[in-house]
Amino acid sequence: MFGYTKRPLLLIAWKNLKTYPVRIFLTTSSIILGVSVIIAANIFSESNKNAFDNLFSGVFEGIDLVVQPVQEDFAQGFGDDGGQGPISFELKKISDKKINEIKSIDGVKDAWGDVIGFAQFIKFGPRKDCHSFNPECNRETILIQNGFAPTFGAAWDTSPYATQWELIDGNPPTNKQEVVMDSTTAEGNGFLVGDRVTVLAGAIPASFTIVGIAEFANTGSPGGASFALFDFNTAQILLDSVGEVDFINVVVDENADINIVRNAISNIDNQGLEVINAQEAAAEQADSIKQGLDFFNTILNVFAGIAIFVGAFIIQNTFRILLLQRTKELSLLRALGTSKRQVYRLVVSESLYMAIIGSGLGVALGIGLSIVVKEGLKYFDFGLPEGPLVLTPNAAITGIIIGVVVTILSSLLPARKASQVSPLEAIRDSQSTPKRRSLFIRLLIGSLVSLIGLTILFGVLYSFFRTPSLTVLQQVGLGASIIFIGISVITPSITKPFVTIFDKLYKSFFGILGKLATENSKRTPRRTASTASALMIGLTLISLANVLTTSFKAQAEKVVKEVVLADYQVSAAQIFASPGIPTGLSQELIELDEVTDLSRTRATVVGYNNRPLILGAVDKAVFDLIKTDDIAGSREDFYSKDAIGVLKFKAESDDIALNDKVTLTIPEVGKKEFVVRYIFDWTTQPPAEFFLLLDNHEFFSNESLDTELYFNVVTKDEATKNKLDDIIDHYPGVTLRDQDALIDEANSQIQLLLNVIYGFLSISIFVALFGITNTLSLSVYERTREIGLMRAIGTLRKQIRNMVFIESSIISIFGAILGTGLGIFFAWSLIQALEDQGFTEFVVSTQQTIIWIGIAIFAGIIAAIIPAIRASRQNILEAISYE
Amino acid sequence: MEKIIEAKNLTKIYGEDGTSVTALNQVNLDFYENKFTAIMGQSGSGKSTLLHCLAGLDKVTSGSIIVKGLDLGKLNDKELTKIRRDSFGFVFQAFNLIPTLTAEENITLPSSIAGRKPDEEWINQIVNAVDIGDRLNHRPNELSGGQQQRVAAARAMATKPEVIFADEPSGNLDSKSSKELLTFMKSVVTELNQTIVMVTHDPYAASFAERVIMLKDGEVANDMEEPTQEEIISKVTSLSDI
Repeated sequence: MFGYTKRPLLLIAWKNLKTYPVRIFLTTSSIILGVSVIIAANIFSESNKNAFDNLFSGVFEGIDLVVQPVQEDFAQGFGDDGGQGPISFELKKISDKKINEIKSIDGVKDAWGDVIGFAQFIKFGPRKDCHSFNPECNRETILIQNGFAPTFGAAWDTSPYATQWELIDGNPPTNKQEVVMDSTTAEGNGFLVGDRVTVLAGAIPASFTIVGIAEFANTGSPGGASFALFDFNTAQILLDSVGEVDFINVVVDENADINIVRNAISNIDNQGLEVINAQEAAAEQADSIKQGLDFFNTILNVFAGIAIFVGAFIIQNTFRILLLQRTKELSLLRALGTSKRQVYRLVVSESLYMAIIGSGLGVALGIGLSIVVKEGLKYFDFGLPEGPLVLTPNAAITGIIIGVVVTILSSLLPARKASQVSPLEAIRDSQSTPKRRSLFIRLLIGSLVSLIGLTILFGVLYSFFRTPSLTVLQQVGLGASIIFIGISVITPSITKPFVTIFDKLYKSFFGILGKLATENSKRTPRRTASTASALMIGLTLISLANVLTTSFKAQAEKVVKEVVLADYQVSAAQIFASPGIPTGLSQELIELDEVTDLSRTRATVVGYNNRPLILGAVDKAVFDLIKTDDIAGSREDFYSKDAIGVLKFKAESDDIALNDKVTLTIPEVGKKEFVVRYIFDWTTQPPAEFFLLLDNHEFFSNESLDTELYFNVVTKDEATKNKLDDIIDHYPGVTLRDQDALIDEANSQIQLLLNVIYGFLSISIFVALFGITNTLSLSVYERTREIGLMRAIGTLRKQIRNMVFIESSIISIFGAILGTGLGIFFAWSLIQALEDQGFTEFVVSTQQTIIWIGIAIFAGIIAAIIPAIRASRQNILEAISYE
Repeated sequence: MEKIIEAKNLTKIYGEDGTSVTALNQVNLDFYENKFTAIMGQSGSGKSTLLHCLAGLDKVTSGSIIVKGLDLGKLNDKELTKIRRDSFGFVFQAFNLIPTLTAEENITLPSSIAGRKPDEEWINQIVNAVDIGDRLNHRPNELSGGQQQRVAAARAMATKPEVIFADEPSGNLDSKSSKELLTFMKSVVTELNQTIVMVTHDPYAASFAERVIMLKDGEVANDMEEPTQEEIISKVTSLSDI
């Protein structure tokens, strides 16, 4: 009996796929890559969210209520680690006597105070710039920090209900010589129980014995932060909380009503204390961190979008190739009575199978990719919380749906074209000659779209056209995107003229092979263009990033050179980790004969119009050490007791004029009125908005930490530098820099960012490679006859291969030059748009540009290897036989 | 006359044991310089296979082909390709020209890929002979079928090859163009001292040749010197009758 197939087309589609696994691989490769990036992005952000959820529920585990001091209104939003960083300000604390009061309340099972503040472990090791085998090697202090995570000191909780920290080795700290270290830091730096360690807390480093190593909520430490845990009294002394605590944890009796207890605690001091529900607070804090992560997620999704977008080009090309190769088979189906519609459905259902397989593999690869990213970040000590990788069903389904939809949409056009095949095609032995449709309409539409984009872009730059409700940058971005679409539409129409420019060059370089290759790429301008477009996207973004960073570097250099007039600047090494510069340093420096002018800067947070504001303090010399433009008033007036200086931008935004009165709420002093005596401008974004003369105000001059120091020396030479280094080496966490070092530092930060961006964009180039491979395979297939003929009349295999390589180089040069050109143009536009914010430098690195175009061409040639080999191995007889 | 190609015991078998087809069976033939030889036979007689083997486009299963003292069977692909490029010329039935190159570029293609300067004088002579001087800058799709085949013939001769192989060169042409092409090919042999080996199934085309070899089932059935068209037709008929 013959089988009857109810759905013959689906069966044929499936059998086709099973017969040609390579075909599936070629088509699905770009789907796989695109989907995998989406999945990896999602896993990554979900896992982090999950880890933060666990972390925050861990922070408050077993705790019912948290008692906090009510902060000044303006201090809201600075978090509870206000003591962090060089801008320190006084957070209110709770008297530790309140702990016993709370304990005595009915329904309270236990209550204990917590002290938390800045503390950092220090180890001693060889300088980074010196090899360990060198016995003369200078040893220096190394501040221990896990990636960018903060460094904390806290009190070891002795209450039996405190379960956040758990000792995995050793004992709790009991006196002021003992410390417990978090296990992440201990493992990362090789510390064991019994070791001595130096801890920097407040202004002076001190030595401790590690008596225990502890784990936080079953992970090494919260968010990778380092923790030095002291006994309660030591913590109070070291962390500037004598007789005080930062907050009080409360555990409520099972039988008691939590709300009644909460009210009872509030009643102790309605004005000064605030009682919050611990579990609600955990959820709230986790949420706010998750919002921050969403930004990261968005960036990952943008890269995924680029990968998918490039992928769509390639899927479409690949389908065309595959269908062209099967013209005979399809036309045979047509001759046998299959309708156009059925052929269409056959092709689309093949693409459906491929889409499902590709998306499925994409999900698998995405999981792998996320593991790689996670391990990679770990390798670079990028402290993200530990936790399992989480793939939500939603993410998997979204990834698969995007993959399937994009694949099917990309297959529709080729499928339609395939269904148009004539049934006679099977019998006829014709050379496929693509119909030439006019590219003029394309040029027209593309030009029109580009023109709209240009109008939007230049409209904002030369202020003749503004789109409502968009910022300057947004409008530039919108214009650039529209131009990009316009250029993509135009590319097929400009393929021929573009390649023609290279005709002569290629002919003189490669002779007849060059001529053949250029002609071949002109033959199917649409295909050449769409292949080049895939590469164009990648190179646009790369050269955009490239030019922006070189320009930013130039900008940084210019600003530093122009603005920092001082010979040297001293700052805290890690701006978010260190407490600042102990004031002893500035004293020592001033006493040096070599040091001439010196200015300290300090900062604190005050209230102004019920909002927090950073108030800076400087010495008189600062105006000669940092380039200052006088706007109104005079420096002499600023030196008077009641005077305050205002930066130009603040004066403009808040409408502050000379001699206006300004009232600030200063934590140490209370409300105080100042008169605006001086309005000035600094080119850099300064850390503060209002300034006082440091020595005029005790709450500033009594501080123990400076934010930065600027000073000049008599002669800037090696001897002076050594003398300065000797002094500064005694202050861990403090760095001395001159102009060049400041420039270097700015540049290395910019470069780091650029490298991350390059990493992501490389994926799009990788996807584009598959596109080139596919297109060239198609070109080679279409020219079976020609290649056979050339071989017959004596063309060597090597020459055929070279011809394909040359053609590939044309496609990649086309894509690379278009992309680079667009990228440079977009970068220029962005910098123009940023002019208001002081960006003036536009620098294109010729070297970098050439390197990237070179990489693109090289990539194109790599992509051509398979088609070239295939072309050179083609059977001559098959190509020239007719019977 | 000098022997230019010597074929000894040529056997060509396609396919594997069970389904094998013998296309050539112990063929012994010599081809001479400055002679127009036609190979005839019906479809499946092995005439195209013979041409492909002689021209180094296909490998024989056994036997040897000696060209200029070299055994083609012992050469690798690179050496064979160079022989085709430098010593042979080719005219095929159709799709003889590279569509992206002009007529002139097609004619000089074999020298171009060899990296040699074409012999201008010689090429002018051929171009005049095939009467395509005014079409040199045109692409193949702007030429008529006859013109295309004449360009192909000009290309086949451009490097002054030892032998020109033609596979049904007039197969796709109308009778007028066909006559023009064949007349030209004949004149090439008589006036320009070239050597042509042509495969055809058309007695009219074969009648231009000085020697006609007939194949049947992979074996030489007939070898005639200077036959008339009538003689050829009668031989063809008698061969197909048996």
